[in-house]
Amino acid sequence: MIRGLYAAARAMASEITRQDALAFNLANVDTVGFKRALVVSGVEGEALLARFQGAQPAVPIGRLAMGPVQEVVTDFQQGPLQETGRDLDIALVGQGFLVVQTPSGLAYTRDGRLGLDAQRRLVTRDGHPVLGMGGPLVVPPGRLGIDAGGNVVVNGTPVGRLQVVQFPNPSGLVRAGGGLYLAAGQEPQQAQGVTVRQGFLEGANVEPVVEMAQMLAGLRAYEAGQKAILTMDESVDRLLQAARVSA
Amino acid sequence: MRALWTAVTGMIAKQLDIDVIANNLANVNTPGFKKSRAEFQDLIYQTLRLPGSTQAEGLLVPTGSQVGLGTRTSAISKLFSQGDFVQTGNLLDLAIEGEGFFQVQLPDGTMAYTRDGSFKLDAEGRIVTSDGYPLQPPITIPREATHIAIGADGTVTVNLPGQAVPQQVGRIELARFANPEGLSSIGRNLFTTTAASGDAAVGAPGAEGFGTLAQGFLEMSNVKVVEEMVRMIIAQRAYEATSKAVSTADEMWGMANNLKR
Repeated sequence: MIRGLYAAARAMASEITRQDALAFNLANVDTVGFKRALVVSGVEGEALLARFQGAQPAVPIGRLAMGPVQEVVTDFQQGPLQETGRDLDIALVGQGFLVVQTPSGLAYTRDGRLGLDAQRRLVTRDGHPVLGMGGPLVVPPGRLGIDAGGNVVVNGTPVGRLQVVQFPNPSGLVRAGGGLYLAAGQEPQQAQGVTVRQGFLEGANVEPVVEMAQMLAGLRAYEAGQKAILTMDESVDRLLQAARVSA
Repeated sequence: MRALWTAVTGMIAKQLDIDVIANNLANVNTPGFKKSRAEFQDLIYQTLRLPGSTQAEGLLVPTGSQVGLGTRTSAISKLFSQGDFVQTGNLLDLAIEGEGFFQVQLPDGTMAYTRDGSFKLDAEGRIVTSDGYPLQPPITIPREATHIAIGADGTVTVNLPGQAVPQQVGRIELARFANPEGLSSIGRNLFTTTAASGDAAVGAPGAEGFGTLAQGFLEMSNVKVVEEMVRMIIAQRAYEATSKAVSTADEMWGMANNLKR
């Protein structure tokens, strides 16, 4: 019975983490290139229960789960494309990342809101250079075009090509905030089948309806956990009262 | 309950979004006004388990567990797309077709840049902005001039009484920047340079990379009312959704408190 108490408490704690992730997704519903956090639950620590009667061998009763465990993973599904018409806005279609040079090393992003810094280098919103095949891309004045393959062209003259990479296990990437991901020991590879769309941005892949429905379901699961605890509390209370009466 | 504070960051961000949209809508009829956009990024993460770390049994964790803590405003950027042209017929109304800014001198001697071409003459005949800041390089129109003509290349000529040939009195020059989005807005339709914008490159209208001038026209604001309205709806609904996350977290906290009777 007391085992059940802890399992229910754990279920409640797990639903809190789910709400944290849902609130995070909703807060970023309008963040370019944002990928939603997904909480997946599993069962951990199943215990084998057995009945002991005197000197007889133990008889197994069955398995008892000790409550759920949850993991927060990133859902890398494509977000919707939004047209902006700005020459320096790009969206990646397909599983790929732009390579960003930050002071603490390379990072990866799907946020295509690019700009130029005072040296006319292609940079992210935070001013970190976005890398081409041979380092930062310097864009001379003129009409800027970026084709589907990531080739940067100014007034018809090629300037370089944006580096677009992918990872064997994207869910193993570490989120660093600011739309950046860190490789965490994985080796980036040249992306296959990714197209670049100029004048578009990729919206967040957060669907408010889905998040709201999950929020509702999570709240009720949490409530169920609370009721289970209250019921067990009540049962123990009755048991103690019965013991007091018979004594 | 991280959810409470996470949702609050979303609500603060959307509030700022509405502030920016309100400013755009307030300036829908301001000549040379460039609209702004609030832009957002995900905030820091709390790492519960790092991918690639080692578990008790010596196995590597293939996926980590990170909870994000909300959103933040990454930038409020200006969009320098061309605004619509309106014909005014006023000889000192100028519109820039293409890239470039007019240069004006502030009272403290520093330079400011503007796309607002509704110029006037001051008491000495200098070409000034509506606020009286002189255009740079300074151009003075003689008091007796009967007509002012400003060419697409910026040359200013005047007709003087008794002279058959118009006289050139100056030439308007434009400034452009490596990164116009890095300019700082100081109000009154003026911008100043920052380290991010780079220094001004000055040239004649119509030269390589510079726009041309149109006399008798004004460039209106590039705000599109429908677009702002749609953005306002999105911001309002997103605000509402995150407020629901706050009330859900509150409800959960209440239930936890009710465990103890």
